[in-house]
Amino acid sequence: MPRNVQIALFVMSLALAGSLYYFFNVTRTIRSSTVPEAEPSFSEADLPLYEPNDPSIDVKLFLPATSNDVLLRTRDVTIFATTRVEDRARQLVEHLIAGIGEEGLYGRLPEGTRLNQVFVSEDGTAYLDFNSALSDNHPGGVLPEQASIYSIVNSLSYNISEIERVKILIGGVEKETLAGHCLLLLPLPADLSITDIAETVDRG
Amino acid sequence: MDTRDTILRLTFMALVGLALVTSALSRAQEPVTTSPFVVYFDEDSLITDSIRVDGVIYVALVDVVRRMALPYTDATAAATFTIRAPGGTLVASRNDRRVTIDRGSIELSGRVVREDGRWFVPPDFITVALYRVGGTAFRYRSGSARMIAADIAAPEIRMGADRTEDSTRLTVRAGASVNVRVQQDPDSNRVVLAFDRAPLDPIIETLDYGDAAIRSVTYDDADGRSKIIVETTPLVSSVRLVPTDENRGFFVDFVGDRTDSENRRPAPADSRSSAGAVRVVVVDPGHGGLDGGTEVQGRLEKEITLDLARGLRAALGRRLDTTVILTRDEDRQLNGKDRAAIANNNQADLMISLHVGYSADPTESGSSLFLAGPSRPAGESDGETDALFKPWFRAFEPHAPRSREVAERLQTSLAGAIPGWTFSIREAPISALISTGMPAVLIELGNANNPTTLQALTDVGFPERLLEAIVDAVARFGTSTGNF
Repeated sequence: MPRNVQIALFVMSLALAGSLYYFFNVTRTIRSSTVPEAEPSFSEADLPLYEPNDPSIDVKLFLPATSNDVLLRTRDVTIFATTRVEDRARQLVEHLIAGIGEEGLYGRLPEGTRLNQVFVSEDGTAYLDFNSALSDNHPGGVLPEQASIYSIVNSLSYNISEIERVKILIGGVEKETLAGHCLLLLPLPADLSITDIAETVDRG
Repeated sequence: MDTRDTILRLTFMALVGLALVTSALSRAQEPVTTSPFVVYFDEDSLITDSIRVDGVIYVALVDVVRRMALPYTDATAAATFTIRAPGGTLVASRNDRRVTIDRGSIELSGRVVREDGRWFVPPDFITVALYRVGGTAFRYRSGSARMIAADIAAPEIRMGADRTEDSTRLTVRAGASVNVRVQQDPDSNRVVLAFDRAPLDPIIETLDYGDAAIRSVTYDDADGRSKIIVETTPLVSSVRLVPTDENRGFFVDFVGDRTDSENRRPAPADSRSSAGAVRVVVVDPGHGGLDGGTEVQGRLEKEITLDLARGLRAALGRRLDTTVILTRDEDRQLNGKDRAAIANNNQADLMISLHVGYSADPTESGSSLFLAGPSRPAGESDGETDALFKPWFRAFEPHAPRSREVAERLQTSLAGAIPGWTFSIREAPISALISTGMPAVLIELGNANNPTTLQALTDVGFPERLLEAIVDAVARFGTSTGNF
């Protein structure tokens, strides 16, 4: 093999080796500079929902009924009348998630449902951001979907005077429906016509 | 060795240089591909050429300047083009996106080019720069091959297409009353819808649609005459034009030879009865695609509703003289807005959405007929009741009484046809119904968790009884005296 060809091959080999070294070095640098997503030190859910000296109040919880004749049945529960309206809303939703073990009531939201954030605007709209389990684990059907949505909407807007309507978000974003039927794109006011109480009852 | 290296190096450089020169020469000799571009003036139209530069349409400049009777100088050596108009002197330079007007300058969206000895400019040269000096205002819709003087009324044209039972329906909507003539040439599989008015302003140039009857739909006015060109497949045997809304809308049905299964074949026309005011029915199979709905003995709700919808289409086609359109005729995902849009765009007189119910209580077997709602209590008003335009989520409200009438007829008909089944009329903010501009009902059948429902849904005779009962209700509703 001619000498000049040998030299050319040698130079090309050096260049290739250098390129490979540079490539892998850059890749490693990029990998090492990727900071893993840190778990938040605390979430809103970890914060106390009430203070020990907060007074307690009785509220009506709207729970899905087994019979389709009345979609939502009310049960009295006690929450703490906290200063922050968001904390009162969160206490109500926690009751809906936990449910009430009573015959005739399927009083709970779908398995794994968690409330991420609550925000109540000055115009009386409560923005509730749930995790995706509320939608993903929903069994389907218009009536169960309507019952899930309005158990939240009615429980909040009936019991908390600062809340006129409720906008449900899933995973921080708008979702058209919970399970393919009922519209979630609009803030919903309470609908007492599907419950076991008259619409004329005074709000608590 | 040094000499040989030098020779090799020089030879290599010479070859590279030769290749570059050859490439440049061959590119220079390539003819520039032009396509027509129409400029609509007050009195007439100018058909000139355009080319594409980096995907953007460029217009031949000199033809436009001549038509506007503006004096100009084409300085080939200096590679500049100068227009001396009453409003100032405009100078454009080759391969420069900046043009000067007297002492100022304007930056265009693209550079001015000179191809085959002709100047081509991006559209904003005419709409922005030339307007400054020439005084004639134009409007231009990005991507189109036409420019329209601002003084001329050019109604917007919108196109949409949907597959119906036995045909493909092209829906054309115009912003003003126009006349359309159908010119069909079976030999070339081409149908031309010729308008009697120009210019028109299509929102889109080409409809992204194709099926067994239609290959492409394109708006074309390259010769200054407005028309829609539809390339059809050989299956299309006839074309039917139905004007509506005082010639502001047109339904063009492309009817094909029947090759489908027997159950989709319509009965002879003389055996079908009129459905009165119900001329178009949209049937909406619930769920679809990734949204499977609830599960019924290993089958997903989306499959059951699609089967029922196809059956309902066939049943309606056999007995009633109506056009039936499915929101989906395959396993694909649609949101509520899309479903309502199909009904609205086809000016449906009735929409029926089909679903299977679910309850955690296995003893619960009732079915439901859902209306969009909840309706606001009587007397409640937000002060917008007299507004000309209503928000999309209130589109259902004017049709709520007629929707309830449909539900009541369905309730009677279904309860009579399926003994032991109950159908309750309810209201819910159903996403597929809430923005519909016609009577609309969602039928939710039984409970997928209930043995009676499960048995019925797998019973051979059940779908037929169910669908015939729905057709009965539609027929009675259509011939009732209410106005739409």
